[in-house]
Amino acid sequence: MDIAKIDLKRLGERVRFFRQGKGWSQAKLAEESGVPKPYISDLENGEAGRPNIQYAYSIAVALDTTLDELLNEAAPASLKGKARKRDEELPPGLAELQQELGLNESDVDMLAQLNFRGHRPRDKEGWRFIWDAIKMVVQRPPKE
Amino acid sequence: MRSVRVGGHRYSDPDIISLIGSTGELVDPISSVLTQARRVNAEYRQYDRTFSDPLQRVKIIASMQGIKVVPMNIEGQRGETRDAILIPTTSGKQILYNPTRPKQRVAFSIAHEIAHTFFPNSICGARFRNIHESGSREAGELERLCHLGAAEILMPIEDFQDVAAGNYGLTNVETLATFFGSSIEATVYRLATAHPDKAVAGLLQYRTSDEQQRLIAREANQRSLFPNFRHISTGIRPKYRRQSCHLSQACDDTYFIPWNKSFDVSSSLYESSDAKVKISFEELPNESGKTGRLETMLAPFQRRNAHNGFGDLFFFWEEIK
Repeated sequence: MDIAKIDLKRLGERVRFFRQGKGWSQAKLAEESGVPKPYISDLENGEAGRPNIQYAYSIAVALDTTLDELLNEAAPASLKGKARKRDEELPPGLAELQQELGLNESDVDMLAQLNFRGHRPRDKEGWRFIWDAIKMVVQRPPKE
Repeated sequence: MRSVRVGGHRYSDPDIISLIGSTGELVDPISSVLTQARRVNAEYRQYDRTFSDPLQRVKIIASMQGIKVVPMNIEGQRGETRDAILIPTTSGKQILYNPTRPKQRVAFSIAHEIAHTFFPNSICGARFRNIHESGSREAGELERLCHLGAAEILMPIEDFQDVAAGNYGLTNVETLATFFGSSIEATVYRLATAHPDKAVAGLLQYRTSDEQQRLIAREANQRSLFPNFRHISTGIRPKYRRQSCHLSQACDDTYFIPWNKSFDVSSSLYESSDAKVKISFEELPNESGKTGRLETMLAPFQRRNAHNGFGDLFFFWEEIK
């Protein structure tokens, strides 16, 4: 993430895109992030200059995203970019678990990319173990 | 199990092996982890050259790497003993941290989890460390490397040198550890690795050598069979021996203290029985003849196998010009 390569206009557009996606006004974002509204306005218009990283971080947290997604010109470094092609076969047992638990495609994509200590589960029960472990640690953490 | 030797160490952890082979040539994992930690620090420094709150800083670094950092739901996770955990989510990676732990410890744990993402084979950074043998040798290899990465992330060399302002010594460790949100142990080692001249730091343990331990065990068996057996091991006494050793960049190999090397029993470090720093002038215990200022103090957290009367010691040695 080279600061010299950051397109301030594009950064502003991304902040606006995420804010509007939440249906928030600039005032609401200012309230949620603790960042002054004039700064948000300047940021969205590409006129805030070199990003204040503390403010940018507070905005990213409020918008439920990361600085990587806001600042990086490249595609977001998320698992979405590496998602399974639709015609790609699922690892053994995962399709069965998907059917049994009614898992959605994004959850299955996420599971399909996992391996455990260099290996993937080889059957439905192996996948269930991993799925249960993920559910256990992701039990609705409170928003920061 | 497959193992690979590189940089003087043998590794068998699958994540480390994946890092070693990630470029087609053998990659030294220690050097790779340090390089990646320095890269994330350099990215952060482009935006902020001040060093204020270590916890906030490490959260921002995580966010810059595409990792969300959120507190765990402690109510929903009773019995959770970890300070932080890295997990994959459908939108990327997330570090859950325990908000009830001290801020300093949380900062180190988040940095440790960031270091896990430096390994390409760790399911986009996340390892289900809750479901594998945490005490295994493999787990130890990976965790040690991640500790190293965490220390590098939390204590960037430029900032450390600025804040230390030439005051390299164990008396300054607590202040530096608090400032950088790091552990006392990692900060002691950083004193050496960030030192602009020649310095060595590490941990000493009061024990016999491995060979002496084997001899004592063997003779204990003989004693039960042959009461008149002449015991060679009777005169063996433990000494303070080197457990870990960290050198400044200015040091060449002659400053390295090999495993098991010990300080002579006449050394004043044998009087270090409390947290007060003892200072003396001594040679490095490696037959190099290099003399310098030696500081020692009792380690605040003693390892399980530490001696009761002679606890584990941190040492810091710097060459006198």
